[in-house]
Amino acid sequence: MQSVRSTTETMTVTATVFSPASSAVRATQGPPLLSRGQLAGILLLLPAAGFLLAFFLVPALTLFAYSVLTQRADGVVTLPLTVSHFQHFFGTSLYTHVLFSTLRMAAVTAAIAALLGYPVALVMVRSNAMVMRIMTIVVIAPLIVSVVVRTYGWELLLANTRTGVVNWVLLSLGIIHQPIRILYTETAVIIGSLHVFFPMMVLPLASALSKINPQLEDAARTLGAPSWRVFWRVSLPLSLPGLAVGFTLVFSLTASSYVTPAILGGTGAQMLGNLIEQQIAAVYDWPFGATVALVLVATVIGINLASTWFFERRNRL
Amino acid sequence: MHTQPAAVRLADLTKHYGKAVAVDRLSLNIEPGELVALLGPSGCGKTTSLRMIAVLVQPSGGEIFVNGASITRVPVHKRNIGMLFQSYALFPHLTVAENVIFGLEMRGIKRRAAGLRVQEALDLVQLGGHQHKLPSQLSGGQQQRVALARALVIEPAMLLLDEPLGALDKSLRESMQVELRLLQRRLGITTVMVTHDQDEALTLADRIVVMRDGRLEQVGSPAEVYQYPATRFVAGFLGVSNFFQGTVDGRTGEAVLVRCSNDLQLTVPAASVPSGSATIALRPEAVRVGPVGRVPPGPNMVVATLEQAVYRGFMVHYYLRLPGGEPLIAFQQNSGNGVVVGMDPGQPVLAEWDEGSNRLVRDE
Ligand SMILES: Nc1ncnc2c1ncn2[C@@H]1O[C@H](COP(=O)(O)OP(=O)(O)O)[C@@H](O)[C@H]1O
Ligand SMILES: [Mg+2]
Repeated sequence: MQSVRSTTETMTVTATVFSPASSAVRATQGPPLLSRGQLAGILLLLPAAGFLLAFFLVPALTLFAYSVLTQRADGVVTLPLTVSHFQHFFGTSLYTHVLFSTLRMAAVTAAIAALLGYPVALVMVRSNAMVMRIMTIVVIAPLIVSVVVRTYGWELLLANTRTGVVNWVLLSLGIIHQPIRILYTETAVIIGSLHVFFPMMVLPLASALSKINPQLEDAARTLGAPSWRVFWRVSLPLSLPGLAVGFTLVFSLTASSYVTPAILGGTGAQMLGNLIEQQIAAVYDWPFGATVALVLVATVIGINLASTWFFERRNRL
Repeated sequence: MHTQPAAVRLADLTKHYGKAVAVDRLSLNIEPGELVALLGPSGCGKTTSLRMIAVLVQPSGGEIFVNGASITRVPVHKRNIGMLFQSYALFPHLTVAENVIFGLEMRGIKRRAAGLRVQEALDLVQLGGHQHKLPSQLSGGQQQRVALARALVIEPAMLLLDEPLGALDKSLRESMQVELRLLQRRLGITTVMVTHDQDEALTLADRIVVMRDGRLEQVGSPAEVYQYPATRFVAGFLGVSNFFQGTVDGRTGEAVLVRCSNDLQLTVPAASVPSGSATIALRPEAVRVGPVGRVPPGPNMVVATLEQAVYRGFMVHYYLRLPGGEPLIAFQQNSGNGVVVGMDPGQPVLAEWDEGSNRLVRDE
């Protein structure tokens, strides 16, 4: 039940990333007379559109409707309309704290993924076809293992006791004398999220970098630019579209994750996803759970739109 | 803009890619201020040679000297070279002015001084009013001129051009060739250009380096290489040539007699007599075509069948067939008096040429 709900959240967010597709659908509906090709296009889209409508849009909208409805004592959600859930959310410092730490962890994860992703992506596109294929497989590999298994693996590595692998290594090397606290902190959640979502950064970056005409870098070098300036002035600005996609994906997926903060964050680094789960599965407060979900989705969409706008503006300059 | 033109020397420059040899022991002296064209068919190693001169690729062997000093291990960004690429390679996210100023920024030149030089360079290529446009807002010819301004503004010691006009259409290419040539002369900048277009090489170059399979085939002025091709490959690649195969059959006076068949003997002015078989190249424009008046008594003439006469404006191209079955092509200029000498296909005609037009070439 819980994992089903967390995948729905993920879908909510990824759907915003691929919004160009939905505007394309709208565009084909524009002209009054449909050509054969357009008709075929609509027919081809119908099954997917129907599926989205029945299993995503309707449940999502129902849930969002809950956020402005009232739950009676017997558990039935009904009228009257109210904004009290939102007032409750933004009026309680615990909840706004979780909101901000969610956004912070997502932003830090995306930023670190970008910093680590660029070198990997650069090596990937500079290599021959064979190395490129092997690297792609290695980068994608984390996606093949279940997120739960992977996260429990990290729990073993990061455990705060002397037997936690990281602590054990640091203690054995004499770098620390007391076990340090990593598990149940934001650091642990960020490490776990990075591991899962790293390919979402590397693949768009590699794709964007590979589209850059290699002669541009040669030209910059002949004009006197050492490697780091070639990267800073040519490769980086020209790969911003890839960075925008990667950042959006990693940020959104991290912000809406549930399993990773549940296992690695515990109560020390809660995210909105865990709050939603508590409200709905433990407290049975559907309207408030829906409110948190709506806040999450709205903030993530807002930040993604803002960052897309920023990157596109940079790109046009 | 003042540049100190560089003397460049390539010594046994070699590049291997795995087992394949892209460039094989290329040696060449380039005089200061000279424009040298590397000419050859696609894949013969021109680009690789040019990139080695720029040190964009490390040679597998050999050395490059600029003004006597080896620069083979100097990193590209420390060299002072202007390079033009076939794809123009303008930075698409930067304006024309930002593109041109790039090299000056890398050299840490102050904004104001750099701005003046950018203005000067853009005026030089007649693009003064386009500073704030993006490359995508310019035509192909304008883009290549921006690339030229960007390469020249840093006052490079040498200019390297990789098929710089290849992406332009024919008429624009011809006018850009003239512009480029004038500019290069005026600035007196040592230039190496890569092209597979023989017209471009003949028009622009002080000297042409004909390359084949990674090796230097012949080097000389355009007229030398065209008039005196050293090998069958050069004679065929640069312009059109007829080829005759024959055996050396003694001497007649100052010339060597080569017997090609019972119907055709050639005389070649040559000091030393190569024995055995010989290959002779003959330019079509050297061949005169006329009606058969008398039986040909001497060498360097043959009665052939006219297969086709193609009227090409100021020229007529005659496609002939020799008695032995080999083709012979003749280009003849029209007199300009409006009279076209009529000859009917299928008729025998007399083709003749001067002894001095026959070129003994190496055939390998
Ligand atoms: N980076 C490379 N890796 C492998 N082979 C290459 C590379 N660059 C060029 N070659 C090979 O070297 C030869 C010469 O290439 P190039 O210098 O580009 O020829 P050209 O410019 O005369 O067309 C070609 O056979 C080409 O396939
Ligand atoms: Mg080439």
